[in-house]
Amino acid sequence: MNNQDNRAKTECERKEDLMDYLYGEFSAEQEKSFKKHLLECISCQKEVNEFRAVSTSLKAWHVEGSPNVSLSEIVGETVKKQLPTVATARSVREIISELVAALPAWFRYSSAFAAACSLLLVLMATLNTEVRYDKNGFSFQVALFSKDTAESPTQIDKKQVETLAREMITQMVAEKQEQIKQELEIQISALNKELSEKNSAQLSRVTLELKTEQRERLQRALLELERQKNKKPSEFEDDPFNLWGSLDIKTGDRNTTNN
Amino acid sequence: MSEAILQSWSDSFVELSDNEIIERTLNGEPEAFNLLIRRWERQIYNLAFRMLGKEEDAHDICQETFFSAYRHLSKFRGDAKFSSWIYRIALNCCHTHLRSRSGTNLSLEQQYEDLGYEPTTTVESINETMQRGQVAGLVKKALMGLPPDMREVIIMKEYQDMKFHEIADVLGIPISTVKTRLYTGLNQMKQRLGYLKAAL
Ligand SMILES: [Zn+2]
Repeated sequence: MNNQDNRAKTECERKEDLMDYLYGEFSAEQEKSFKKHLLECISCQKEVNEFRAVSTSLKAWHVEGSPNVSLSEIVGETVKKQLPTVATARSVREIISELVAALPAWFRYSSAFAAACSLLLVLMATLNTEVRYDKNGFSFQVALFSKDTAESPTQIDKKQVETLAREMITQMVAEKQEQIKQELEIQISALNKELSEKNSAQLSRVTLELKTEQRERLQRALLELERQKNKKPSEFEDDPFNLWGSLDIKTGDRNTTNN
Repeated sequence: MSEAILQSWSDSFVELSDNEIIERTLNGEPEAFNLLIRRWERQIYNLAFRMLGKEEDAHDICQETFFSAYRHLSKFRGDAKFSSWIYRIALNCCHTHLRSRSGTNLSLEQQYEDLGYEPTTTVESINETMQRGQVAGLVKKALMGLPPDMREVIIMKEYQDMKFHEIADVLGIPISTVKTRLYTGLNQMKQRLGYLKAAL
């Protein structure tokens, strides 16, 4: 091929059309029209062939390696900042709302989560509970005796009863937690579909009911404690679990703490 | 929260559009952004790799691009395409990187060009007579020698398979400019491949 001849040739003005044709961005009609032009334009014919060859060459170069974007560096840090690291000695409300904020929206509005919340609220409000929420998840410690009752002048071995109560409640809570976890997992796929239909009204209603129930339970518990303070110490020694009756938590039926 | 719950949660994002994921990310679910990264990182990496020619540079650009996108996500307009926006960010990062590179030394094909030599080898013959690995080497060299604004158009058209209007959208230039830039770029590639083959 003689290069001098190529350069001497008059260039065609239809450069943009050539690009549309080459990359298939013409409409059927436009393409038909350009093909007609190609038949009589040597300059375009030549360029079509040359550019197709360049395209072929370009395709020989493949990318090496793979993207390795570190998610934690971009998003992880921000996510971590949003979660509380250790949350102790704070109000139940505060902790629950923080937990709720850390959960995805569909989960927040699920009825299973509302049920779990209701249980936790009642448990923690009724008993003097210390809640922790850290990177390992949700955990709580239960202290049966509040400051007031601990100072009450009773003769029983409080430490002993407290230890027993602690063990029982911890076990009960663990069992309930496991049960909730299993229930949640079963319901997850169904809940996912229902998400769009859920709204916050449901949660508000449950929360409202909870508040009332919680208040009532607290009142009952306080009354019962008050009543027992006035009892003779011997009554406690005979039946240290008498306390449970007042809290609606029966030793024989630990899993049903919340009707 | 158990693994199963988290997994199920992330699965629920798979069907979402880019804009829906952005909305969720901005509405207090930052983890949702991970899905956008997974969706677009390969494309961004490939673009950066071909713009800069080096694996480690492509990694850096990729990371930088998504970090920048995440930080400025609230500035993203919902009526635009996320892909155009992220491409633009990536190309800006590439240009910054290219500017910071120390003085460009005159390439062999540039010296040929300055002397007024015409290549005697056609691109057709390169494809016919050379091994694919060798062709790839030539292509990489020739492409790296192109001005970046021609290089990016060739990359987006040839490798990223984008339409002219999409490229115009990313670069913020008229469609006709994209076409003429591509035309000039392909012409230069043809020339450079010829010089490089002759220099072998
Ligand atoms: Zn023509």
